Amino acid sequence: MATSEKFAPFLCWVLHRRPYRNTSVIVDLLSADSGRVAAIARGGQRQPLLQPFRPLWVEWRGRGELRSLGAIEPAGVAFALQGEALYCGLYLNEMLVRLLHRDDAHPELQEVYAATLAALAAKELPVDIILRHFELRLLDLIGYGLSLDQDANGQPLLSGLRYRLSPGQGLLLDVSGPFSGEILNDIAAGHWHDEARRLARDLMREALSPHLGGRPLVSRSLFRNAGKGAS
Amino acid sequence: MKHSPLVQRLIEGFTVLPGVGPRSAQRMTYWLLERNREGGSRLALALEAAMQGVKHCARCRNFAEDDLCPVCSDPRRDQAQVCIVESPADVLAIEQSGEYRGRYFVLIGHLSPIDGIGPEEIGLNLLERQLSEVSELILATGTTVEGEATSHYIQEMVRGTSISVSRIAQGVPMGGDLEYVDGATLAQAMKSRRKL
Ligand SMILES: [Zn+2]
Repeated sequence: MATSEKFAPFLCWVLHRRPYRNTSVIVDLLSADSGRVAAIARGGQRQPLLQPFRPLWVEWRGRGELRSLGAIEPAGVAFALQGEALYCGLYLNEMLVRLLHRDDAHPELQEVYAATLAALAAKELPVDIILRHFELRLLDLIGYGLSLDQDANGQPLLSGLRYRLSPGQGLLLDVSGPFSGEILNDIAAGHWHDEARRLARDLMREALSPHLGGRPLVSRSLFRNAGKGAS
Repeated sequence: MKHSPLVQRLIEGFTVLPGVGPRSAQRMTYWLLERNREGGSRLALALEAAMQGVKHCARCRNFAEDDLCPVCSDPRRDQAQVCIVESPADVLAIEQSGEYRGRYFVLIGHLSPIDGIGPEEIGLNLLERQLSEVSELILATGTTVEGEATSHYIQEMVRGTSISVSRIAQGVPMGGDLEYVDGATLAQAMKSRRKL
């Protein structure tokens, strides 16, 4: 009977859509209570609404791998992401689809995601800094938190020393490590100068890579003209 | 009832067509076998010939049977004016409007990082190599998030050159009643309104 079970509307964000058969689409949704959920919208349903960056009330049936979409209603207006902010939005979605296991819920993540989109739309900060904040929070929420104010042994980071990232552990002292203690401290203190932004990009790339299965994120190839290398 | 192997294979063959499910595929198969075997044989030959002989134009990636498609090899078309579309079907639609005298560049898709489709997969490196011969680009990619990202990427690619870039207007369809137009389209139409 599980397949006929109907669930009340959930607040969701579309992460990805792909056509299925002729008139249907399969969507990846980010929900608060069920995490990343795949669902099929059959032909004739209001598919124009199923666009990324717009909060939706979504009903679905079933529990399995592929749920069946019921009614869809807007839960607010879409974030008008343009240019580089739009690339960033696509980058977030690609990262979430690649990183999150299906039906693995991280209740706070949806809020973090929405706040990140809002920041990108409002251009509150340079986009790369917004992305770095998101990446740190994401790693934290999925259980791979990376501490930027202490090393893997709980010691404070020292200005004159260098560090490397050890997957699963954190920052380790290493005389020939790529990361300078001084700049890491700047990042932890929110001093985002150019060198700090470059280091943060490289550090997060390294921290994310074991979770991306060795393949880089394709959205990174979009940022060709970005001065600081947003992704 | 179970079909014999050759009949079953043909039915399955038809289901690759858009809008054709198993039932229509079965109807088509029976119709050809019962009533039009000659037509069926011609169809088979035409399919085989097209699948082997239709390539992509070396210049614009549209369908072509020679190195260049008819538009790219037509000296009466303005080869310096390039309209960028997502699919060969879009070319057909614009050609049928009869208004356009430039050439095309067909992406065959749009940027879609999640699906592994980046700039190279839609031929933007090929387009970039052609920019020195281009004076005007008209962006006619879709109005989806991916179409917008694609359009923005191309705008960035030509920034700093003297190429003039425009995006085709989006908004209310001809003969359409405002009350039936969805909110996003209406908002876009308002935004791109023009002074009279
Ligand atoms: Zn051509």
